[in-house]
Amino acid sequence: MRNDVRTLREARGWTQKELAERLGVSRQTVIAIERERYDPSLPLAFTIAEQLERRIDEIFHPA
Amino acid sequence: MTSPNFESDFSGWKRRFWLAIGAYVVILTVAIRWLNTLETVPFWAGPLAVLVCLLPAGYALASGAILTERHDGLERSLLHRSTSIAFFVTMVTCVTLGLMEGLTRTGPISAWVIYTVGMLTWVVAHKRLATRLA
Repeated sequence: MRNDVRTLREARGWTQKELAERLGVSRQTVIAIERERYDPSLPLAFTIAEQLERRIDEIFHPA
Repeated sequence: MTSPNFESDFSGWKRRFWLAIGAYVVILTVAIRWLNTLETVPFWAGPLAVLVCLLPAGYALASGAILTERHDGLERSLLHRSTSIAFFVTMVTCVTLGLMEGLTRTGPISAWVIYTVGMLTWVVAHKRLATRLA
């Protein structure tokens, strides 16, 4: 699944570590999501959307 | 910060895990020495010793399960997937060895074979999945 997590995170000036702390996940998880190698679970996707203040479908797109 | 911190929870879990493994080794050593001191071993002594040894191991397992339940993410996915693969391979190994022992003249095969196959499979599966996903 494609996503705009990196773009939205950088637009907020957050580091990967900062986003990881906000989400309660490891930095490796954020890296894997941004590289589109790992699709987050639905609850984690909702938390990402909440932190980035976007709807899920504005962040994640079907491949 | 809105969520529990993964890094601090993970380092806390590592400390608890190794403490539990240490307790397991100590209890196992004591249990073996105790069983060896008995003139005749009552039927309940062996299972009791095993159960007592499993207490810290169960604690280590439970604290790992709590950690992965608290924190969604790559680690949970890696753990679940690699454990599933290792469980399947371990079960197949058990059945194969059981059949070989029962149907051939190979004699009893060491349980360390099952442990080694299971652990090696888990480590290899975890490493390969981590390389692919991370």
